[in-house]
Amino acid sequence: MKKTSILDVISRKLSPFILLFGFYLVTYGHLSPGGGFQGGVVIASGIVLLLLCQGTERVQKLFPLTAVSFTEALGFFAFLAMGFLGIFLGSGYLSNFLPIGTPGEVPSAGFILVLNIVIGLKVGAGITLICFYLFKEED
Amino acid sequence: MPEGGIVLFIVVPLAGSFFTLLEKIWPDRRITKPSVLLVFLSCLLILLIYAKPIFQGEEYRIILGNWGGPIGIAQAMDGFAWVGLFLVYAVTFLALIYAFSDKTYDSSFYFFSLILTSGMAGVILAADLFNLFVCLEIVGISAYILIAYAKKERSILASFKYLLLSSLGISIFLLGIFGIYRNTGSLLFSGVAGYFASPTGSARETALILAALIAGLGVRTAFIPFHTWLPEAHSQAPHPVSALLSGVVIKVTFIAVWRLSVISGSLEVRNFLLCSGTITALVGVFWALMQKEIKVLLAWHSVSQMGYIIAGFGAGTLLSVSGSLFHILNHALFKSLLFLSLGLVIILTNEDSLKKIGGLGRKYPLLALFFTFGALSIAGFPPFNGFVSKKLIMVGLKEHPAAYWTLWITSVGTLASFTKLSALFWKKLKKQPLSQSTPLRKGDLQKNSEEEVFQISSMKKAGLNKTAAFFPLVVLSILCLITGLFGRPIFEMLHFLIFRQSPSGIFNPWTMENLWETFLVTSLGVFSYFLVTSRGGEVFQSRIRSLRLSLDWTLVFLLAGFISLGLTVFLSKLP
Amino acid sequence: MLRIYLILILFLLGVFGIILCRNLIKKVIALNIINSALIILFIYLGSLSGDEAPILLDQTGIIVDPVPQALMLTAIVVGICVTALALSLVYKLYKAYGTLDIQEIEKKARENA
Repeated sequence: MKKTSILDVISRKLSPFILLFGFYLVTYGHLSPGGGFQGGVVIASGIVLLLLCQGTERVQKLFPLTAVSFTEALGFFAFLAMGFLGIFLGSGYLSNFLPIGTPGEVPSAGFILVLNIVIGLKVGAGITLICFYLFKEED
Repeated sequence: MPEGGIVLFIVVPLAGSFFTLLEKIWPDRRITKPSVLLVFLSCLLILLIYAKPIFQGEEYRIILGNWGGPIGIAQAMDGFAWVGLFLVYAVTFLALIYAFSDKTYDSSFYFFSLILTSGMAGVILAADLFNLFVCLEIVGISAYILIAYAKKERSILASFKYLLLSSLGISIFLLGIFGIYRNTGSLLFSGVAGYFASPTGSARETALILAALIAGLGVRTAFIPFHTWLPEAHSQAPHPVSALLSGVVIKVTFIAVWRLSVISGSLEVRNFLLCSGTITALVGVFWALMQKEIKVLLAWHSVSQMGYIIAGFGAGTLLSVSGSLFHILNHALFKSLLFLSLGLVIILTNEDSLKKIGGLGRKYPLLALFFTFGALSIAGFPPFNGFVSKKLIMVGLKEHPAAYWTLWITSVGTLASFTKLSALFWKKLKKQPLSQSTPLRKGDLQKNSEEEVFQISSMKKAGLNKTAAFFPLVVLSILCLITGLFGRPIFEMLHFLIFRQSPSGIFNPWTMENLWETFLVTSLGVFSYFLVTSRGGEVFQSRIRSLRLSLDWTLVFLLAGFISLGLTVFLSKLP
Repeated sequence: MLRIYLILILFLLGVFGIILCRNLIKKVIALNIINSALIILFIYLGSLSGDEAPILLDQTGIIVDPVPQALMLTAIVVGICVTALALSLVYKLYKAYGTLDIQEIEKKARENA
């Protein structure tokens, strides 16, 4: 069955907005519904849309497998590092040590913003990896 | 002693697992094995640092992230948790050293093992319900992946069955958490204790919540009727993973069941555990006697010994409860010894059925020695550790004669099936004529038909590193012997850790009565072995082996167990 | 009260689905239905105590209880991981046995053993 050009055009036009929406959910997670995990899944769904419509090779040129794996491992380690920084600078593992600004602005609520970004990257990379491996055709 | 340090028990294996991930990116640097060694040695060191204050009776409680009050993430470490953590780290360390010997385990295997370790530490240290849920799921997901690591078809099916049953069980556990949060607004164990002490809901609701909590955890612990996933999952897993699963994973979930039962203070749950434990012990050993595959036999024995432990806890007397904790320790030691040594036998002969291997004692004398240590420990022979802990549980059960005699028959059955298993080492295979044997390679057709039909290779030919494979076996055998010889001081220490008081009487396992009882059990066991392996016995065995439950019926069993537990608790609260 | 009964009916649908469906993928979908039912149950319980989303911008609104929402975020994540793992196991089983029907798979596994 020949693929029409609808999938190609729509996926290329739509997925940057999906990625942008994912980043919005991640960074505004402490001000409106959203957060690290939710935004990460939306980011991953943007990449999976590209994967379904463009094929594995083209998407892997844009998001190479080693870079995505490294992002996931880095996100894991960054979360642990934030926790340990909590031990050194504050009072106990994962305690809030950044200044809490005025509520309603983006850089407020201490380090929840940083954790959201870390988790968003990790989850996005993780779910993208899951879909890469599930869609790989084994010969 | 810094209180916040108990978080390190969970965080250090997690940090170590990050280093094993790095080996995937840079495959040439050998980061995995040194990082695994470093993680476990440092965890054992931290455990030793905490040993002194814990043995003097101190407890540590922390709440993570400074969110105090009823919704914080709480962790608590007391003496009971110390013993559990020691078990987790020691047995996992030895199983991973065994895995070092085989080159087929790559860095992702160690990654999941380290995450499994950190999850188990989390379950032991958890002091609120949601932390328990998250750590149980971490343990579960790592266990599913590790079982499916063998990539054989049967192991993938076993892992999938375990996944379905376990997820259904955890959903039931979440129902219990819902009930508790609705009635008290708190998730800490102290809130749970307060709720069960003065329940605000109706009796039906309290019964349902308690049944949901215990049944949800019971799936992972594998007492009847939740045991159906265990024989397949533990037998089809790779050998170090089988040792880990049988040795520590089911114990850790039982520690959570222990804590919840003690907190809820419910007598009905204890009675249910007593009945279920004794039935589990008997059914487990009966089915174990009927098996012809080595690892399936050992896995059914795990079910049976968990029955001992659960019955010991359910009886509630001081002796039987400390005996139950002692048996948790001992079972982890001798069961992992058995799985690891018989795993070597399976790798070296490339067969896994009892009917096809025999007479290995001359070729592998060391393996026969390790197996003998393990078999004598599980059967309850005097200088080894099984003797002390089994006697403790049985003496503690003297007031429940039905349970006492059921466990006595179970000991006979255990001995019979281990005689059957030890036939690997001393029994000569019946020489089979060529036409009936398994298909041989082309070169064998010229051989004499009296030749043995299975292959024996040396460790070097099988690609195994000898020191890494034998070191855990030696350590486990020595530990089995030491915990047996020093049984009394260890029992007194465990009694102190659980109950905060030294035992009142002096318990001496080395009485003439106990030794005579062991002799009686041994002779009856050997007699049953000859009965079971006779011609009629073999027919009976294959009949029983062909009765297997399909996946749908195992799920029905799970629900039936949950409903029966709920009914038991509810009906006893009525008047 | 009617709403809690409806959610429990959803939960029972999932339980019956896991037991009665023969297709492996339907079993995984039924497991997801069970998870979703539990998540809705918790969030419904939290929503009984307020009106607005739990973000304190000007301290005047009556917010719903944020604790079940936080708990359920974790439960959703765990559910996704288990579903992903279950689906990859189903895929491996399909490649090994050639069918997605659980009774046929068990029959083939019993014959091979």
